[in-house]
Amino acid sequence: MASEVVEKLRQQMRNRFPQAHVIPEEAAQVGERREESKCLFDVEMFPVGKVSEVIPAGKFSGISLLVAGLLENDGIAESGGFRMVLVDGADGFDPESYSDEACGRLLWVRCRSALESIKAADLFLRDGNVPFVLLDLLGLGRRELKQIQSAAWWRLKQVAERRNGRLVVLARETTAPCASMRLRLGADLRLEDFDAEREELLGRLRVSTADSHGSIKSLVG
Amino acid sequence: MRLSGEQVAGVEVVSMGGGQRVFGALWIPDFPVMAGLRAHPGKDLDRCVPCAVLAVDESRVAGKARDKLPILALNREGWLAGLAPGWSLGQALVRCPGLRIVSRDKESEKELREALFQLAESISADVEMTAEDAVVMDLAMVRERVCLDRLHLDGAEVCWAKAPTPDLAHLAARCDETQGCMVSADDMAGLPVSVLAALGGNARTLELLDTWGLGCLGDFMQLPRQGVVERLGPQAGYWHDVLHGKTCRLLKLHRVPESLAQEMDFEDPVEGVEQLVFALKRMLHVLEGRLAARHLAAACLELRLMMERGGEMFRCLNFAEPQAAVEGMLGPLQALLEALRLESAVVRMELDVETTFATAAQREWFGKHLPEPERWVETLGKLEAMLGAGRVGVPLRENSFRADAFGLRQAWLSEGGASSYGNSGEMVVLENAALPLRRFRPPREVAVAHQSEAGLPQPLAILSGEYKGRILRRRGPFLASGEWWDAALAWQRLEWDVELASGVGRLAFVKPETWSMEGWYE
Repeated sequence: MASEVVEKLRQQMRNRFPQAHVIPEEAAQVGERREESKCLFDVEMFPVGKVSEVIPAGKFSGISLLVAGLLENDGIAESGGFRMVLVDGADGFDPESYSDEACGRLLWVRCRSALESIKAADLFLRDGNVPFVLLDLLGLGRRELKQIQSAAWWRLKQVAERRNGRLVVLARETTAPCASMRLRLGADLRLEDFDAEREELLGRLRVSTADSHGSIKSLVG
Repeated sequence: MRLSGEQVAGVEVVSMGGGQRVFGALWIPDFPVMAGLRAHPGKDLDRCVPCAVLAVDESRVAGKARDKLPILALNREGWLAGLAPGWSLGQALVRCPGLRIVSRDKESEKELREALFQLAESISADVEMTAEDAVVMDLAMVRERVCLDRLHLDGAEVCWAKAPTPDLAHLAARCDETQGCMVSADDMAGLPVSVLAALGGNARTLELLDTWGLGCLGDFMQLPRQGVVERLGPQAGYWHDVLHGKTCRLLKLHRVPESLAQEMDFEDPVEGVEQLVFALKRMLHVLEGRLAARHLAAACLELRLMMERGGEMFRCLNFAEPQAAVEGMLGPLQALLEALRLESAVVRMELDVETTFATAAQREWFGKHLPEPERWVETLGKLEAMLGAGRVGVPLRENSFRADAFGLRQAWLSEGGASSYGNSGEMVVLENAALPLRRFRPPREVAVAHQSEAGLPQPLAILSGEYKGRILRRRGPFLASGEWWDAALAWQRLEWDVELASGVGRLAFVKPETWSMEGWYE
């Protein structure tokens, strides 16, 4: 209610003093990108009680920025201090790449195989104390991932539905057949981009939805 | 430690009467030496010769440095030989060539301290461990007149004194002039000022009193209190009050810590989980009763299984919330046991508990807490059993530049970093690299074609491994080193971010010729 009043007041001020509210085009674009990024890195973006899947759009897509964005995005209440559980299929998470605050919001599960990862994700979804589980299968080989039976994915989906959890799968290609939302993430990064601020790179991430047949529809960016 | 017959006989049944506060102090002179000699009963003859305990273990020091080691304590013969604590060993041996060095024995000191406490407890229920070598007892509530003269400890002399305040009794027990009698504030006047060190405080103040020419406590007691406090601080004022018998503080009563540990030896080695769970359940029922009787709850359970082949398995299970019921404690333990793969049959099981108050877990007021904490502990127990120890937790960056230096904080307690985090709604700008790395654990060794530029190797192509190919572009080298002050631990490495046709990775070089892919940027 209060925000509506404030917004009305702002609109009136903009109408009355348009010169004072001119936004440079570039700044406006950056602002829009930030807003879009924040939207992407909000756990609320992923549907409750469903399995979602995120796959890279290219060879150097910046998909690992998704973890950074989710952990470093402020303003999200987390339960018991943890924002999410990262089930790290190939034990590749690098704490040095993240801030102390970001690391403090994460429960890191270091697995060694796809089977362990699936079991761990199942345990956390059943537990329900941290309702956002990120299952990172990027470091695992295609052959190992193919060995996961589709029944296991459906079972995970059922558990997520029952416990109102969110399961997000990070994989190189379509892996979870029961994913209700599938996003393709890419930023066309280059080696020169290492000198940029992380915030800027987060703003460059492009998201598109993709179905299991590979057709793509632009969503953000 | 059992009390000797003399100790029991030391209490005479005589009505004391009156409501006067009386405190008794017991003190073991030359405590470290007495404990050291008790630890070596075969060297009883040494009691007749000067003996000393050094402040530092002499076996760790060799050569001339040994002569500089200071003396910590002496026995009576050592004092009579003219030695004193603080002298160097070399000086002491010059004065007294027959001086025997007794090695310090912490275990024996602990035993002697416990024996002293038990001796005091046989007289009064209210006992304070005032110092390592002294106890103070409240004798006001003792209905019997206590004959402290007959108190005796095996292998150690016990000195005692009684006074109207605990501190006066403590001081009086340490001085020959006041030992073995009931003293008042006036009796303290003849004691040396150095006794005040037993009350604690700044040693510099004592030096200052000595500089002022104060020879005995009587001189100090005659000084006006206000002036003493103005010049020497509140500690000196406290000493003044103690000596005049103005303060009669409460004793800090010593209570022996209670153990709720249980153990069970199996007649036949147990292999099945069901039998272990059954035995565990019995132990938990006993524990539940004991906890309920004390109005306590379990904060942490420690389970130790001894194997038939000699090994052992230890697990510490922290509860997110204190548990007092069998059901709350058994669930996580059962999950743990069911997932265990034991090397051999179990012959013995030990269960210990760390207690807390049942209401110790305060709910967070300004943040969300875990909806089902009891389930959380069970889940983490199952995960630990599945993945092994050290595989689940909150990542902690270590204060080091060493590659892949990190720690894991246990996830039993949900101490998130969010509470100290800003709530501005802005994205956080970080100091670390823009792109997160996906690490290879362990790093993958590769063969690299390289050339030397300005004394540093420059990689040109990766010749082996999964990520073979020509290096199209590179960032670096980034030189990292650490612990150079320790030759055994010193390390140095060069790192590059390299772009290949297949993507971008991190390449590292360690002398003399080790190249490895540290990770990959996705």
